[in-house]
Amino acid sequence: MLLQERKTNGMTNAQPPLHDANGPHGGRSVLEVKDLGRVFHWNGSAKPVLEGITFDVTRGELVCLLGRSGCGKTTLLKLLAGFLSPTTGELLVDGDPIKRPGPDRCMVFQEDALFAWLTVEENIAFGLNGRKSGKAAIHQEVDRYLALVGLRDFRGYLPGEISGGMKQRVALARVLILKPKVLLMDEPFGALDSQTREEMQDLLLQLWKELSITIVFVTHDVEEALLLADRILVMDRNPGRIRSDLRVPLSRPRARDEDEFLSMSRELRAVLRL
Amino acid sequence: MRDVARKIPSGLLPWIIPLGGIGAWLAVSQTGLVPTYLLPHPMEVANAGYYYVFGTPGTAPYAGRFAGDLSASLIRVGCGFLIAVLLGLPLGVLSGRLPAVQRLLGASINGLRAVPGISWLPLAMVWFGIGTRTTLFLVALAAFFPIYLNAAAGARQVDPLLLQAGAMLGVSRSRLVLSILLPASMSHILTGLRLGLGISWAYLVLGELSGVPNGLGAVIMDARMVGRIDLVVVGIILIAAIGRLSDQLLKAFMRCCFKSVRRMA
Ligand SMILES: Nc1ncnc2c1ncn2[C@@H]1O[C@H](COP(=O)(O)OP(=O)(O)OP(=O)(O)O)[C@@H](O)[C@H]1O
Ligand SMILES: [Mg+2]
Repeated sequence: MLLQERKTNGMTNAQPPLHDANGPHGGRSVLEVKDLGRVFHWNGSAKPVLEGITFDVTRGELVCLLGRSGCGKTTLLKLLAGFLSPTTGELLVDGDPIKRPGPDRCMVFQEDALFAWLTVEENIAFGLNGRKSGKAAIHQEVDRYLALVGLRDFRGYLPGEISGGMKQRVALARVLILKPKVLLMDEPFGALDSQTREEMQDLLLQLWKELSITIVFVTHDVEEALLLADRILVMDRNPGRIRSDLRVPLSRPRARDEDEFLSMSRELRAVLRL
Repeated sequence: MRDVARKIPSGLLPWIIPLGGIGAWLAVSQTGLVPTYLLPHPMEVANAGYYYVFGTPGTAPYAGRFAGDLSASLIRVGCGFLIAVLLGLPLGVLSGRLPAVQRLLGASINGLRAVPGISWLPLAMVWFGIGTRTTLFLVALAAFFPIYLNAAAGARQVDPLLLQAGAMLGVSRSRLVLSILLPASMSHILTGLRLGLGISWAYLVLGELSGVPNGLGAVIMDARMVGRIDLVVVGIILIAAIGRLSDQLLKAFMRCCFKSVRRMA
């Protein structure tokens, strides 16, 4: 077994996580999910979509949620974002319960959710506009993030005039600029061709390192999870649960064609198939 | 066909039908096939139009009345349309987003919409008397429906994802409406406003036919009574031209005020 299993099944909080130096409820835990459950009522019958989900995410960690279609990955992210409320359990960000959507937990959506009537630049500035910083400060900040995602030359374009990969760059920049405590990403590169997807994965890793962001990244792609994650949470279906919590011991930068990478992806595929 | 179309400069295209119509009219009038009391000669109409628009008041019947009639009509259309916008836009957006409002208003408004505007005329005359207020009522009523319906359709088709994205980016409720909901429904809203303004002119004439002393509709009715068919045609042409101009002005105004119109529509 190359991938290292961590404690799961509700035990994470009873025992200090391996990397946590600050005690059981460690100050460095940004996100805590405790025994989370969500039931959808559909045609009069109650359908448990998520059950007994427990995990926590440490500051600066990149965690991938890996699971097959329909296992409740999007539902879990929407709960974290505050678009949905849990049926049971607790969700904490920096110790405070999550009640509604807010700029401390920003999401990059599976679909295109840019404002079509605003330029690239205005989309990125959108979240800053309501805040009490001067025009010049906003402009400077937007410039910085435009450069970070490599869209300097496209600032005046409308979303309808740029490619899918560029759109996801804008989506990334418009939330990163708000400096969220947790960045939630729902299969953000799923709709891109493989080359663009690899570019975007590299970009994400680079930004993650540069800005030390905490990321929860949803994917159903084994390679993507292995390439990006510090930790992979593998999810079960019907109801959605976390089956295993795996640490990825690969050093960075990772290459898809290394032997270790390949054997781990084989192993992970087997876990997913169980 | 394509080749022919390519040879005509596209700036010319909108003029082909009006100019062709005038040409045919001229031809028919020259041959004398149709008596002038049914269809006056174009020159006669042009002449009447000239006196109506530029003549010195008092030198001939209707001479120079245009400015007064135009301003009376403009005020009626403007105020009626404004009332329709102030009611139709918020109610439409609300009922597009809130199912409760939709259930409350939907059936009644669709019922009322089925009533032809002209059947309101007698009632309006009883309620408001002959004159400006009746005309205002008719214009506002007629323009309300397209504005309301299109605003509702526009607000309804806004992707909930955009509103979620807004909430996530920390936008307050009121700014959510102004900076996401309205721009995202803007192309529907603009369609509603343009349809509403167009129908405003139709109902203006209807209201003014009921016997107000001034206004473009009143001139048409007056002229018919005294047998000045040339002036009737002048009135029709002027209303067509002003209706088109007001549509252009509305578009320009919206373009000027809203990014979403400039960029999306
Ligand atoms: N609003 C809802 N009402 C009822 N059932 C829902 C609702 N939203 C999601 N579900 C159900 O919850 C389950 C999980 O959906 P979810 O979208 O979270 O899956 P997913 O893991 O994101 O799938 P994919 O990889 O295809 O995006 C599905 O079976 C779906 O039918
Ligand atoms: Mg999903």
